[in-house]
Amino acid sequence: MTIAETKISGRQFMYSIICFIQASAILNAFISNITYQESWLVVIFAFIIFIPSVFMYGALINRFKDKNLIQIIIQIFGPVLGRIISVIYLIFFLSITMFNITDLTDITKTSMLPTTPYIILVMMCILITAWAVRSGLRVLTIYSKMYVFLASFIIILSIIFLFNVIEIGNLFPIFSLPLKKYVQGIHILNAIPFGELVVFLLIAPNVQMNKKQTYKYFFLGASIGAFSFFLTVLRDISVLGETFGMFVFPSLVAFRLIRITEAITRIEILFIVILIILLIFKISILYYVTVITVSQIFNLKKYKNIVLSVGFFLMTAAIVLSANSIQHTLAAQNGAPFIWVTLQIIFPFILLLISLIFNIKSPKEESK
Amino acid sequence: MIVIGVIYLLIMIMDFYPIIKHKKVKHLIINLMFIIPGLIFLFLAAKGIIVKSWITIIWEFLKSLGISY
Repeated sequence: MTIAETKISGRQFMYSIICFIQASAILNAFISNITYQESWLVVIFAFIIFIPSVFMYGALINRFKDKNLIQIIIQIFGPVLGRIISVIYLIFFLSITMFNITDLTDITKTSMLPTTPYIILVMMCILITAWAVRSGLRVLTIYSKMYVFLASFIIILSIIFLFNVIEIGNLFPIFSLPLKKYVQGIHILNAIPFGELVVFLLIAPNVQMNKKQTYKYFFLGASIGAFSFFLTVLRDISVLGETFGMFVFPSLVAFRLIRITEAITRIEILFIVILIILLIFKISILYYVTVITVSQIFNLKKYKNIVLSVGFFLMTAAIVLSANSIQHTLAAQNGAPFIWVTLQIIFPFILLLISLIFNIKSPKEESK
Repeated sequence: MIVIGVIYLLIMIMDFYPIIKHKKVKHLIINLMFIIPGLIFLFLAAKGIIVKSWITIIWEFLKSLGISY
């Protein structure tokens, strides 16, 4: 049984994945001060290493066609142990939602509304996303295609406008850093943003697609998202050079350098607008997934009645627990990848392995 | 701030009404499970207390085990 009644198309699913990666890609500060001007290389390696995980997610979706991740866990491990593991996933989803809310409010506060109290920004973000979550998955993902085109258009436009300050030489030398730095960079990118695609295992039962399309849309979504990420990092490094690792939001600084004529400058507002749109989309998806997880753990038939109370918790937790994006970046660089990757890649792999060894499938698949 | 707070509270009350009307105890308990910690966090925020995130605590624990970059 799936809690959400609505179904979305495979293409909407794909565009949602692209949007999801693009939202994190714009905030490429996680690796900027680790792998510096070689970050573009790390993005390529990280995605190549992540490709098997995409197919692993696809295999898991196909094996349990009408079940989401929490239902799969409960089916494989039983109601008691399954629910205990699901609670760990709930904490994980709550945490990444909270971190993204902090990111959004931080960038809004520093770039657009410096005098607005932090709590107001968080509250507004929760109200808007709660509205989207209550409207259901179809409404949530309906504009994903438009967001993808808008974000891609702005990325390409920024590259054209920055063409006079782009220095290809800034991308070199390569392989000049210690091996540990590359490992750390790849590890971080496999956790944030690529590994975060695990949340789509909770949406997959509500997507109309056959087995072949599952792999196709998941892979295409992840690839296009990764390519946008690559382009963003490439642009920022070639513009900022050695200073790339010094900024909290390198893309924002790159946009500030755009000068079309003497009159048209400071068009970083374009970056801020698209970042807010993408982050609101990402937070909505994460918020939706969190609410679905809660409903599944407690076996609820409808999720709408708990949306606002979960939102209230997220709002207050975002204010108290994650102080600022600097703390977020530090946690993301040093501690989070070890915990995140366990839940994003290792555990779903264990689930797939157990289901293959003991031939566990969803009842629908068994009847075929 | 007060206006937005009141709006949030009103929507939340509207959400609670069907739960109480149809005596959905399970829904009520789940809602309270999130609202009570939320209120505690709000109290801490009002007092200006910043609590260490669980991810920071785990990171420090992993660091003490030597698992960190």
